[in-house]
Amino acid sequence: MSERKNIERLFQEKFKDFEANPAEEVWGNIEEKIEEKKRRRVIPFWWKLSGIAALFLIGFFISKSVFTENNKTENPIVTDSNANQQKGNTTNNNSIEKVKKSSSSSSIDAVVTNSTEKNGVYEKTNSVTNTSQKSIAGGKFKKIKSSKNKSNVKKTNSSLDENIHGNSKNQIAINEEKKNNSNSNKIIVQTESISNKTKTINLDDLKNNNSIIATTEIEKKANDSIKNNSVVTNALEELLNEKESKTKQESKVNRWQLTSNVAPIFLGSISNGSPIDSVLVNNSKSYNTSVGFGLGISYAVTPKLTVRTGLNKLNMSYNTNDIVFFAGLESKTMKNVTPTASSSMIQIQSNTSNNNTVITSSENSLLPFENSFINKTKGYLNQEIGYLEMPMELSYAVVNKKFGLKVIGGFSTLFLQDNAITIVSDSGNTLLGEANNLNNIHFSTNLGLGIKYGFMKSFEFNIEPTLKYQLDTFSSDTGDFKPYVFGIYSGVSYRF
Amino acid sequence: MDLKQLINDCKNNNRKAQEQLYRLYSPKLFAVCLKYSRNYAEAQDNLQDGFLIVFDKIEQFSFKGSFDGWLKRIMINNVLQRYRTETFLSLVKEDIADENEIDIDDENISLDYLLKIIQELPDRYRLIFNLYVLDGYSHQEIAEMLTINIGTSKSNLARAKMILREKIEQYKNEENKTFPSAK
Repeated sequence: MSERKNIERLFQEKFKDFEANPAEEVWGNIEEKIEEKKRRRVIPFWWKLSGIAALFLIGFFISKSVFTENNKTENPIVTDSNANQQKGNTTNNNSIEKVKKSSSSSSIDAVVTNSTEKNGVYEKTNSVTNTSQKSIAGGKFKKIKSSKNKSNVKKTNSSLDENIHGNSKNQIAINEEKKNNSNSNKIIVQTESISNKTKTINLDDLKNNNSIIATTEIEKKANDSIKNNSVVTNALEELLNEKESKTKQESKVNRWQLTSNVAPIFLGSISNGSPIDSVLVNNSKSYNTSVGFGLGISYAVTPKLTVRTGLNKLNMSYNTNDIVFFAGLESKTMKNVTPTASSSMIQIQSNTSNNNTVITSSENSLLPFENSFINKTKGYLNQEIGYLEMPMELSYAVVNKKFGLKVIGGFSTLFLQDNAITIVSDSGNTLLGEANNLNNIHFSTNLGLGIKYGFMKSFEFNIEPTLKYQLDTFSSDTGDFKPYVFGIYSGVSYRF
Repeated sequence: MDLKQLINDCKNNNRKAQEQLYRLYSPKLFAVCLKYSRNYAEAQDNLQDGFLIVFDKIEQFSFKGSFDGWLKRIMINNVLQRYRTETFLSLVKEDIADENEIDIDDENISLDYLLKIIQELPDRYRLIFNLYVLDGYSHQEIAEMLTINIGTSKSNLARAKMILREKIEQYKNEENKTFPSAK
């Protein structure tokens, strides 16, 4: 027991007043990072602006298609300002990135300039390689540097493309060549070891390494290698600049995404009913599967949250089974159907229980003798409704890797396009007319689940089973017909 | 200069004040980083990251409790965050054989050497040793900070001390070999 105290006390006493001064340039690094952070904070402000701009754009499209005639003069203005804002946004991003880059590459600049001045070399290069400076003092040069390398390897969390890795290898290879010319065996060994370790090193680390190499050379071959160094770093700089411009382009990616989709559309109603006539409420309905297709555009507000809109063609059709129809003497059609001129005399009755004695309201109006004249034909009514749909949805990525999973929610505005009711029987199809109780515009609430798979750099394959519950489809509803649409939207999207 | 004034200036993102704060506290905090990190370079990285957090969060400092303690906690938390995630596979049984009786004569052991052997400890041992022995945290607190059992904390501490003791002995033996007359 006494012994345990001893070792604890030994350390406690020794470390009681332990203080150590960090290398001078740590503060410089901190200052740099603070500046960087400040600039980065500006970005969300632009994001918000562009998000608002996107909303305006979408809103404008909606209003434009609602009030088609009136808005022609406003149109170019709105889209223009929007484009400007976006442009401003991207250029701003660019400038931020540039500043960031320049601040990070400033360390290399420092080496370059220093290496041309013979005097200040030793003192000033420590602004880049704090560790090496310290280690020179401590005489543990190699050890600490290699550990620095390790830590560099560890810090590769900022993932860069293979592209860049490849390039960084190249650079180091170039570096090596130059070093070979300078006939310094030790340095060759070092650079080789560095090149072995830098398989995953990112740009910044590369800079560090280069600057470390640069300092070692400066120390060891003070006068000879100075020129070499500056040449090497210059060449490196050029390559770095090239690469940075590449990364700049790449980082601009990812925000906008264009999506095409095709979907089988399953129509259904959560309750029985008929929007055509109350007579047909109890008739069985069969819902047809149709095809919808469309284009969408989405904008990633954050990597996880995406706003999207688009334009889809959506067709639904269903059959009202078990009807009989015949030509009547007077115009007496279904309640919610506006007949065509030729079909106005067609009368329709329900034939639900397969029993001819069922008396419907329209049959009641027939005179007794008429019943014996008419030729009733069995068939079904087909109602087709076509919409142009403009969704406005938010999607949140739960998993966002090569495989992705997202939850989608939002609403759609639907504009009525096709509207037809047809009588179908064995003997043929007859257009009865169009429904007069369909709203020109109605809405749906959407809820879906999306699965994506990225198969090329900017392409993704998507499957999104989505339920769209229709609100206010009919102006005067009959018998609680509450339709919903279930679509399995699949398609390919392209990021740009 | 008044510390309170300095902190307030830092809250207003005054660069001069921030630098002054750094100059004032970096020796002490760098010592903390050195103890908790694997080596000098990582200690410097941790110091840098820690100060960034300090300047980021200084707004939240409400002058309750000591500012020194607040700074130190931030530093330690930062270091813990870095090293505790790196899982260390403990091959050692949780129950450690009791220590053998060796008195350590600390006269000629340098601080540098002690720091070096602390840094050489496996991550979790190092963290626990520092927290418990040098910074006075209880096993209960350590267990919460590192999300481990109290038992694990205790046994890791014992193991850490064992390793340290072995290294100190080794060091002494070498000393004796080099200077046999000293004995």
